[in-house]
Amino acid sequence: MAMAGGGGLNRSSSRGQLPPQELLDDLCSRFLLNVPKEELESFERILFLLEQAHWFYEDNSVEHNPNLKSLTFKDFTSLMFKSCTALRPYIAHLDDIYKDFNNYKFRVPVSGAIILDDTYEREVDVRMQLTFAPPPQCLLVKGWKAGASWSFPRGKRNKDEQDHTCAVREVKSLYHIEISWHKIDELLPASDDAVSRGVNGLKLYMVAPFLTGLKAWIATRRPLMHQKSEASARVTVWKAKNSSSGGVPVENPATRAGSDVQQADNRPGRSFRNFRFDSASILQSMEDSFLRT
Amino acid sequence: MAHGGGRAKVTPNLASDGEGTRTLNLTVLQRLDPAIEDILITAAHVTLYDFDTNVNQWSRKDVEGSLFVVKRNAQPRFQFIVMNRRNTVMFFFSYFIGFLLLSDNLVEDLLGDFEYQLQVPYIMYRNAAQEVIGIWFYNTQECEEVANLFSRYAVMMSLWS
Repeated sequence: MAMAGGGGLNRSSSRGQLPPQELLDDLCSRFLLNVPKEELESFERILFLLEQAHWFYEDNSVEHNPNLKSLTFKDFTSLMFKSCTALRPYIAHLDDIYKDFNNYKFRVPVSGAIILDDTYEREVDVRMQLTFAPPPQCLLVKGWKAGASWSFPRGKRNKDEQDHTCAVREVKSLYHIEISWHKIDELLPASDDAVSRGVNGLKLYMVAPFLTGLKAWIATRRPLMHQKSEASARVTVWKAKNSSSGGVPVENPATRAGSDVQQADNRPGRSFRNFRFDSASILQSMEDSFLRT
Repeated sequence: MAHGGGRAKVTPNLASDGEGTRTLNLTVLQRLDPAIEDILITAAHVTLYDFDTNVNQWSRKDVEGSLFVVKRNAQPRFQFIVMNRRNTVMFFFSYFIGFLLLSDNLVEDLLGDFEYQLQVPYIMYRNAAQEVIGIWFYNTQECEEVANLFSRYAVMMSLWS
């Protein structure tokens, strides 16, 4: 177990040494040379493998050895092509390979889930509604590199994988990345833009196109299963059975920057422990709903 | 270099140099363990599972990658190693401290009393810590070859360990 502190998020990429040949050999052997033959049939697939190697390098090697330089994917790929004997013959084509890969990446379909807390359907006294209606919240995730944006949990579909299987798989992976509840109203404005900013300045990715449909769905306050083709986003909605016990979800204290820390529990993992996220029921309802549709 | 619609796409041909790959694999493994002498067999892609005897259920371990059965010039004579590709970082963030839990390579000693069971595409085994572990092989032929190797070397393992 390594102590990371907060330093991992502010890694400077202008200092540090390039990875030594030993490390590049390891990455070449670990991620590239021994994969099934089908994975080496196109450079798109090879660059996906190098992408995994790059993440491994950034999250394992650089994290354990701060002397190592953090690299952009382009620089990392360049380095691997130079140092890996099997790739060296193709160095002359690297620019084209990289360009083709970027075009290919943007055509890879992704699937994910918008997870809401249960405040949207809580019964509210009509007289109190105007002042005390609890604001509906949705779950966003953020990669941990500096400058990463918040987005709905989603990821690339595997070959032949169906949308809902991918969505379930992505929800299951939520244990491994930073997650947080966010008030939907603070994510506005809705638009067709992939990149947007919420009213509180939060950097968002692929959230704005879903907001119109999402707010309309919440406004009806009816748990429906229907397909919406609002704006440019296709959304299938389901309701989790036995959603996590009533009561306001505990806001992730980390998002209230600068606020007083009132609880005595400052042990590591506090926000994770306090997190109201009944993944089992969410996953179960996703599976059930797709059996019914 | 000409760009535009007429550019032919480059097709890679990486799998051609088997000997070079073998040498590189050995070099990489020896940097982790200098006593490794030889790689007996390689399986391109495996995924590992833990069996929880309390609830009779398999769960996925955080280990996935290529599997190498190796021979060493010291005890234990035989091992198999999975070079982990999984980069699973469990990141617990509290207001003050962040922790990282990383998943390592898997190294298992192959001793004379090594218990395993072949059920293509799985090999299940019990390790020294009495854990029951399942290895899923992407390639069923490699699964059979590895099990075959275990059975052929069982005698040698019991003599040498």
